[in-house]
Amino acid sequence: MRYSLTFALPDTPGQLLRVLEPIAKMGGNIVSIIHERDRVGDVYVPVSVVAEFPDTLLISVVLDELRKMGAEVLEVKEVFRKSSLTVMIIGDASISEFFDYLDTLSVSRMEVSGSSSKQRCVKVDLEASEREVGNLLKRLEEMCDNHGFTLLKPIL
Amino acid sequence: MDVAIVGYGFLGRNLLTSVVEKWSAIKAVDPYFRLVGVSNSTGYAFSPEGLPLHGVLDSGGLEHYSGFTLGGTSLELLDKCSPDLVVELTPTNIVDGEPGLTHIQHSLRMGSHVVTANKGPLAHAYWELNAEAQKHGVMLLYEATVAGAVPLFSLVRECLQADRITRMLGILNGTTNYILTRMHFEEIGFEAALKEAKERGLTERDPSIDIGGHDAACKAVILANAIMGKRVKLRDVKTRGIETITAEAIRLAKRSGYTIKLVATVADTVEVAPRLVPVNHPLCVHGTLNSVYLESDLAGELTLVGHGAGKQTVSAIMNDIITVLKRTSH
Ligand SMILES: NC(=O)c1ccc[n+]([C@@H]2O[C@H](COP(=O)([O-])OP(=O)(O)OC[C@H]3O[C@@H](n4cnc5c(N)ncnc54)[C@H](OP(=O)(O)O)[C@@H]3O)[C@@H](O)[C@H]2O)c1
Repeated sequence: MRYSLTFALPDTPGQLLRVLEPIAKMGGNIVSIIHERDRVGDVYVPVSVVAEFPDTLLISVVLDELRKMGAEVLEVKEVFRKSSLTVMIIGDASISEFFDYLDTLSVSRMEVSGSSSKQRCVKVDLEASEREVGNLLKRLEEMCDNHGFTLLKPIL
Repeated sequence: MDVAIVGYGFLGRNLLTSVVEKWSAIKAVDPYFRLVGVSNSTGYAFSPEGLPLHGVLDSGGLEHYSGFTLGGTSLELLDKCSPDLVVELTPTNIVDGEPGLTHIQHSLRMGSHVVTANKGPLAHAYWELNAEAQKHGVMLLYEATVAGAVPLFSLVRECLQADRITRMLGILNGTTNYILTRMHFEEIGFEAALKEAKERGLTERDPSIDIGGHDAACKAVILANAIMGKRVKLRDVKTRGIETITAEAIRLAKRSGYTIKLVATVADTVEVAPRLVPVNHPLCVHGTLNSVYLESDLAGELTLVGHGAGKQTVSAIMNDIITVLKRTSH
């Protein structure tokens, strides 16, 4: 699991290290650190740390640990890694009735072909978080099975 | 070792030709190797002293061989010659695996080792046949059943002994791969490509077995059971064919760097379906070639490519035969 943790850190040396250490100790792998230093004169500086934690670790445990050491966590967000995947659907003219539905599925690009013939096919580029991909494909598969369309999944 | 060949068609004849060609290599492994019986659907030739290989090959059809017993059955032959090794090469029947299933069961129960290219019996009764072989202390080898000449089972058996195979993808049917290849490169429609495949003699009598994905499904079942230790039957495989693939669809896929291939997937589930395959993926082979892509915990990804049918298949059968000879020679 990847999380983004935003801290308000006192603008004095060694503060960042103080929060990074417990994160690393709990198995967190630091991916990026964004430091908003431009607000000169502020006592606290907002710092966002993106870290990858083992799947078995509860984020609440990490937060408890940080709180215990007095680090104020302003915001916690899970970061979903996106993957893009391409599928194609072959069907009859009624396939166009499903374009609206496809649009609800985080489509980044759609290309339709064969509009002059009885058979149509559509290529859909989707963007989804890695954990959503399986579900998304299952829903598409059900839709295609129900309507007698052919779904072409990528080999991934 | 006394050997009988059950089924003397395309592979049976090519096998016998290779046995003649490789005679000295075979004899070096087993000086007592001899062919004691050969059968087809109409009868058999039998000699307890060993059949003259050239005599059988040059007879112009087994039924013209002088010692041919017309009307004799393969089971009768097996009982008569009690071979140490039976090579089962009768036609694949995906409905119930017969007559190969009975031939193999009978042989194993008699205590004969079995080598086969016939996928029907293994797709129907993989675990039952293996249990039977184990019970009688004999070997059952079937390298040629999946991806013809591509050494798959022996590779995993001998070279990936510590690996756990986690996923397999395969282009396992040469006929559909030929059709999809023609559609990709020549931009012709499915019907035209199918006609071409028929003219080239690449289709079965019932083309729907290939086109509908059923042949690939049989092979996927064998892979799932034999390589991944699953307990899968043919009915567990979600099977789709390539009948609905249009020239337009292939063109659209091609524009984005993909092509469409009939792919068997063996992972948590077993499935055969047309899939989008990136043209630069190692699985993506063309013409009648087959390919198998394995993912394993130690070796990572491996891809094997080769002839899935044709006389090259004899290589897999010969290797299985020599494996039996070697393992029993001491
Ligand atoms: N051909 C390939 O490239 C290839 C590749 C991989 C696997 N395989 C598999 O290998 C097997 C053999 O293939 P093939 O191409 O050699 O087939 P084939 O040319 O059709 O030959 C089959 C042979 O089996 C005989 N037969 C039928 N019923 C029989 C019975 N009850 N008892 C004894 N013999 C019987 C036939 O007899 P008749 O001659 O009297 O008809 C024929 O000689 C099939 O299961 C096939 O799926 C083939």
